[in-house]
Amino acid sequence: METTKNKKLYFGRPGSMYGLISLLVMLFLTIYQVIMSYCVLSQDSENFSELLLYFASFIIAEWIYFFIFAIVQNRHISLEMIAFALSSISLFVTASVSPSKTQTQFVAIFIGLALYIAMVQYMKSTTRTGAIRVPMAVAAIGLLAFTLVFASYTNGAKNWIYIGPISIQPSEFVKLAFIYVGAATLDKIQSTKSLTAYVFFSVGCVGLLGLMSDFGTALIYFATFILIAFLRSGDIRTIVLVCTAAVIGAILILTLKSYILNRFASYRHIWEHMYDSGGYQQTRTLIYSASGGFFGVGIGNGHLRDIFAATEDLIFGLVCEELGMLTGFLIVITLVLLALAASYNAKFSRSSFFTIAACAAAGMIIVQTALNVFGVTDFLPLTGVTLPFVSRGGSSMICSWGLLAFLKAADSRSYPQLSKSGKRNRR
Amino acid sequence: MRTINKRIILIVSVVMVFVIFTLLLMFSMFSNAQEYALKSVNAHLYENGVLTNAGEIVDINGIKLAYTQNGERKYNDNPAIRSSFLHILGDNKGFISGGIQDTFKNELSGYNIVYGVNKESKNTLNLTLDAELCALAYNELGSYKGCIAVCNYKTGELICVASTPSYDIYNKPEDIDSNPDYEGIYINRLYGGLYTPGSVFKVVTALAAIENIDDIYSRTFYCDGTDGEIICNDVHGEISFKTALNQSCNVAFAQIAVELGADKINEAFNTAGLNISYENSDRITTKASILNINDSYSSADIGWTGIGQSTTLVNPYSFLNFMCAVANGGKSYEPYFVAFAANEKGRRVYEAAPVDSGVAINTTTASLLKELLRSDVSDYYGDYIFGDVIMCGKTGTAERDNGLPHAWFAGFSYDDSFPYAVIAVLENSGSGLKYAGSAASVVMQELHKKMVN
Repeated sequence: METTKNKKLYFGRPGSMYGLISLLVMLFLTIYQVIMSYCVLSQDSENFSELLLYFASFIIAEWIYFFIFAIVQNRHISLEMIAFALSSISLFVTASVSPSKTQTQFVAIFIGLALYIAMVQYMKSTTRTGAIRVPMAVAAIGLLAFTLVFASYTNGAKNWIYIGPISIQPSEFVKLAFIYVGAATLDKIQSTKSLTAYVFFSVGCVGLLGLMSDFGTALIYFATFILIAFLRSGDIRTIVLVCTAAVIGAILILTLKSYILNRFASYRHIWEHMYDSGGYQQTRTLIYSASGGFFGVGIGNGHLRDIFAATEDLIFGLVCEELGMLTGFLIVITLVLLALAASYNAKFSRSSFFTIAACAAAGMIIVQTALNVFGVTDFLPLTGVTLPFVSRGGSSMICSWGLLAFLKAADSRSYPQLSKSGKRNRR
Repeated sequence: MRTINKRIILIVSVVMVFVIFTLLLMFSMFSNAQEYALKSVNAHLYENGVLTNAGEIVDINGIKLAYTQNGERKYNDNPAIRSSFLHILGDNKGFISGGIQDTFKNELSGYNIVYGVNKESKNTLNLTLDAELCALAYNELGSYKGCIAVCNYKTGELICVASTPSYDIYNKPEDIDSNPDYEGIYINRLYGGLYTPGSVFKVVTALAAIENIDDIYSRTFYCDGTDGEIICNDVHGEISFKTALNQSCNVAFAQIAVELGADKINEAFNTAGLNISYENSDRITTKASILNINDSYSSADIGWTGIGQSTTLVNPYSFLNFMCAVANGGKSYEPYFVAFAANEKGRRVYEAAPVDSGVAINTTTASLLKELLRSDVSDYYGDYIFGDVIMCGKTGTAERDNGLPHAWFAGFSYDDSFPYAVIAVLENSGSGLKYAGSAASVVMQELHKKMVN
């Protein structure tokens, strides 16, 4: 037992290619990032030294993380490498499109990374996971209520709070609480009371988001709620019932407030709305994505960057145009693999809390990606949500890393010192 | 196995649905990429709706007709060439539909899905047209509205196209929408024009006669100047079929038409391909000629139709195509002028292939018609009119209810080594031979001179 515990993932373990492959992936990632840095820097002499500092720090931080967690602590870091790759794209795109906002994006990535490390560490213990769920639920509802009262409308939704020079989107942080509370509540007590309490909590969150007119985020919460409820109860009838109730509720709201529907009136008719706000962003996304071809016109050479919300809602189109449609779809496929890996690892997690949290987080990432990518390409109505890890935006970046922590915590290999055999505990 | 593990199937299903949608999105984006990229709001290719990221368009001799310089679309320095190519190239503002700068935007921009848009397109579009000849034809049309076109009847390659009214794209007239001189200025009359044909239609009647009246060559007709409502241009007396065509005897041809009946004339009209609306390789849709007769029509109406003076309307392009078929043993290729598009390295990204026009005149009939049209010139109009070119042809002076008649000339070179057919229509001008015939003659002689040298 003692010998297997110390199996080295990276070095000194005969027959294992994992360490070598990880190192190669890190090298390739670094080469890609160096090339991207060069491309961005060669076009911006004004902010050269500042941007160089961010890019270099990012790459160095990546390698420090690799050294500490992979080599010293002997852990798998595949999830983090994916997150590093996607985050760096957001950093390069931000630096290229709006250099003045690079600092915020850079800081957000590091806050996200710190939050990730902290959350993974916190969830090491299976006993304390339930402890803070009630205060967290209260804080989440409170934060959303506060936002509803004090935020002003920004681009049609009331979801931003400004504290001095800092602007935050509380609904992003509440996402993490929403999953945590859901997984912890249903994990602890399988009583009707706790389920009812969680339903009320969810209705509260979704309702508040609806009142803020942030329908995209409300939909993400709702879908996550469905996932959590099903994972807990396994009752497909309840899920159908809840969905039916939600659809009826949505129809009722849309009938009473028909102006909401107008926001989605151009759905599937974007080419008739090429010159008005109904289809402007979607048509430009498609036109410029196509212009990029498979390999892109090169970072800095695009035109979608001149369109409103290019680095946030339209980031998929911007990546397709400047870095190529292959890169655009590669990002989507990467997020799919992230979700699939999470649902696979969740089977071997230490308790159902981790299984639920990981699946809910994976589901949230996929639903959000769907709303973003399919929204700007007119497969779904445009709701204006961000693409996890890739869109510019501090709150969104930090939340993405937080979601990743749930995926990580469910993977028993994340805590090699806890594992008796060093292998997956197949139960 | 924990019960919860079975439920993970839900998240896996969600991911699978997402993957299916992603595949659909990829398919949709890849298959529509070209259409999307070439939308006129794409700033990679267009500036204010003008396709600026586009390569050169050159004529048969390499003369630049349109090109981009410093992000601006420029045209040939010669105002007559600019005006004669207005309809062909298009105005880039959407007034003139079917201009090749629009219909060949894909080839000009060099877009392809793998490499996306070009930073600066070096693709060239090569035409079969001779810019100088087009300008000459444009000048020959002068102040008359109308069109002139010349094409190789063996291949369908157009070497000259001109349509008036037109304007210099650098100096668009301000009163373009109010001045009657500019009426229909956005239309290329070769493709979009429909005119009363007058006597050129006798070639169609003659085609029907050759195919349906066995003894047509031994028959004689009697013309005393009028036949009921029909008035002839002369009192021809006793006249043969051939002489009747040479001298364009209305009375004889009205009698032939009546004898043939509506069905046979319709049949010949269709055999000549005049009923077809062509969508040719230049991506231009032509107007089909219109013939409205059937057996319920009176003899007078059928007679009028036989001499091209009824409600019949003929499109110049379709008639030129008919002339090509007559000249070329009964078959023709749809006249076209975009030869090929090539990229920077000279690789052809587009190449026109001659398209069978669908006209299939019996070979014997075609050669008989060819001889008839040859004798029109040699025995009646006079070979001197066409200088060195040995021409076949038929004039038309289409009388109209008000205003001067439309002048027509349709013909071709008799000489196989100079295989060109010509059509000329000058609206409200006068006699067919005097106006259309002489304009056609100038263009054909100039072309002949160029080819010999």
